[in-house]
Amino acid sequence: MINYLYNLGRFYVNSFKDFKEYIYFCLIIVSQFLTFKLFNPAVFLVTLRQIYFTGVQIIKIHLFIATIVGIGLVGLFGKFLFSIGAYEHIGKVLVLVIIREFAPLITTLLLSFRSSTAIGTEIATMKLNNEIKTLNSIGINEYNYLFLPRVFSGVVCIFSLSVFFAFVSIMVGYFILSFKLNMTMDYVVKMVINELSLDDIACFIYKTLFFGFVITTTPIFTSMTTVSKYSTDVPISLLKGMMRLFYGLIFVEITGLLI
Amino acid sequence: MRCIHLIDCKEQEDGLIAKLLEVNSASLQIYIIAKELPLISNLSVIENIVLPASYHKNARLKDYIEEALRYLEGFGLADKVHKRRDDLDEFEQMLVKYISCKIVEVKNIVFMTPMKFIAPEKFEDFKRFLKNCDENYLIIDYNKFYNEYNDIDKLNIMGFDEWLIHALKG
Repeated sequence: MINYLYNLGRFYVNSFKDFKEYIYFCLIIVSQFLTFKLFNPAVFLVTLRQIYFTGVQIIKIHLFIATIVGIGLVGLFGKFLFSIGAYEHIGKVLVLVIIREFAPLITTLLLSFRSSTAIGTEIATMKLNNEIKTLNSIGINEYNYLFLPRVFSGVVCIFSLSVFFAFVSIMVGYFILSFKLNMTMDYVVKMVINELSLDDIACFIYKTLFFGFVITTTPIFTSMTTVSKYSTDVPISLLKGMMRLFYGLIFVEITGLLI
Repeated sequence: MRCIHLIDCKEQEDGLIAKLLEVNSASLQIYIIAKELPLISNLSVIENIVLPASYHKNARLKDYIEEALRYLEGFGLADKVHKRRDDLDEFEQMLVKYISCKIVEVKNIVFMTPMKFIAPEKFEDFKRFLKNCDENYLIIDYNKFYNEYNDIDKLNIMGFDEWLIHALKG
């Protein structure tokens, strides 16, 4: 029993220490962002590449999933609302379900599976092979050259892909509604805009920015703190990073509900 | 100036690398060529070469490519321009770092335990390279390899700190 309590206490103390270090790491990232190092040609090139890997390469599958969600949610749910005579609420449903929840969350999940794992592995391997030390040896700060472009591209890509997701889903849903129920585009857009409040926009921006920040900083931080000199540290850091990422996403999702 | 500093154990080597990294943390003053500091694996040879110059001089990579290509050609590495680190042998990787150092115009170079990573069959090439190298360089290597450097002219044995002070004074 004493051992159990001892382990539990150690777990919480270590978690708190890790969290404190993570906050400190995030503060450094933000402070580096304010130095405008992103405009350094070498850093800018890495940023463009990261935006390509994170945001452009995923567009096809993202479009496909947005279409499926559009058909499934907007189309079928819209038809259901019409069948029960509650079609005047369709705008609210679109705003609540697509813009506030599904667009940021599904985009984040997709990028987490694809890019967070890639970023985590890449940084872990670089740490293991002393490549980060190489960068330091030539006077290059790893926060500027490696971390900042990845975090920035994560934030930019989640935001823009979420906007894209919401647009595609609503458009696909509209097509279904227009075929079956003779709704005009003008009517759907008007309903969505009427229901869209400042809170919804703030929630969307909050979620996309923080999701983007969390899905990039968590794997980077975990790789940097977990990997030392053994190759077995790489899968451990990936596993730890993905679990922490999961907690991070839940945190952002719950705090997003407060807006 | 050509210098050599002799060490006895791995701990000394690690300590010296740490010291050099500390010197470079403020600004790039000494280019360290060591096996422990490999090329960046997800960059090509040419990108590895121009990276420090582009970063420190706030210039586009394009501005240095022509010069880098000229050096690569001079060292017979023209066909490796777009290759990655793992496609090069240790001596070629060392040459790539040296070219990078030339491009970023760092005048002080430290070769850290070259005997450890350069293959024996390439060592003559390495010595020929050292004889033609006009930078202020320091070779740090183990005592037992001292005789390997006998035929390099004007190679002074020097303490690390003494060389460092001399190098930083410029």
